[in-house]
Amino acid sequence: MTVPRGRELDLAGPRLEALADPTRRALLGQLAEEGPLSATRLAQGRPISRQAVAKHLQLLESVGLVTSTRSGRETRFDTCPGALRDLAGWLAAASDAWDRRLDRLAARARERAGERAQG
Amino acid sequence: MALQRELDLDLDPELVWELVTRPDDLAAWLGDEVDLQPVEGAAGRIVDDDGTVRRLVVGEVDTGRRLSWDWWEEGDAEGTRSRVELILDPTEAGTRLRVVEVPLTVEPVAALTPRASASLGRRWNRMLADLELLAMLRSPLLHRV
Repeated sequence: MTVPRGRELDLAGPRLEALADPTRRALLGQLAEEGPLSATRLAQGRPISRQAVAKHLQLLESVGLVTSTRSGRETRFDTCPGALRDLAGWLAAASDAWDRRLDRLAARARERAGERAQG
Repeated sequence: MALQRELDLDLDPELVWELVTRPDDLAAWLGDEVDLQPVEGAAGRIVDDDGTVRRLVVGEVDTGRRLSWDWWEEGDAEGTRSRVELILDPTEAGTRLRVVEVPLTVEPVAALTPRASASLGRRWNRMLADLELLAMLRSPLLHRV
């Protein structure tokens, strides 16, 4: 399943929510390194059932962070790096902008504290 | 899950509130030109230090404690829209200011050059720390694009 381009814009919030879960982040990390992989393979070495893994994968797929392809009787999952790249682009810009703003705010606050100490 | 920053200031919350709401103070740090009235529902406009022009609508105003607004780039009907929250907490030394910015929509990055993509990859460390996404900190996510 791929997410239609028009829906991309609505998915940032749900994507970040999906990424808030450590198990889902770990699944994504493993898919990024070793994917494509089946739910069965991803469940190996984890303290959760294959069904639980499948549920996480379903959620990740619904927000466009992973894709699935069927091969024979098996469904294999892989990451959608483009979706993460969009978030990364936003984050990079927003992080830099807040660093600059807060540097200026801290300087302004120091000025204000200095004025008060003198006054 | 959001971008978060914390800043400890040696000023009482009332004075920090002034810094984040008074026009001359806002213009000293938030952007080059700032029109932001601390009134719920007020529309405003900010020109960032890099020239980006943003429209905004003020959300919550809890005097001395919390200020939020939604903003988006001007003329960018379908572009990135995000919610900013400034939260002031009193501390022994003064005030802890927390900034939280949550993207509501993110504009797809259609074409990143390989160089830009590599630069993003290098910045993952800090961005992911911001987002507590450490478990996902594997550059292949970006480099497999």
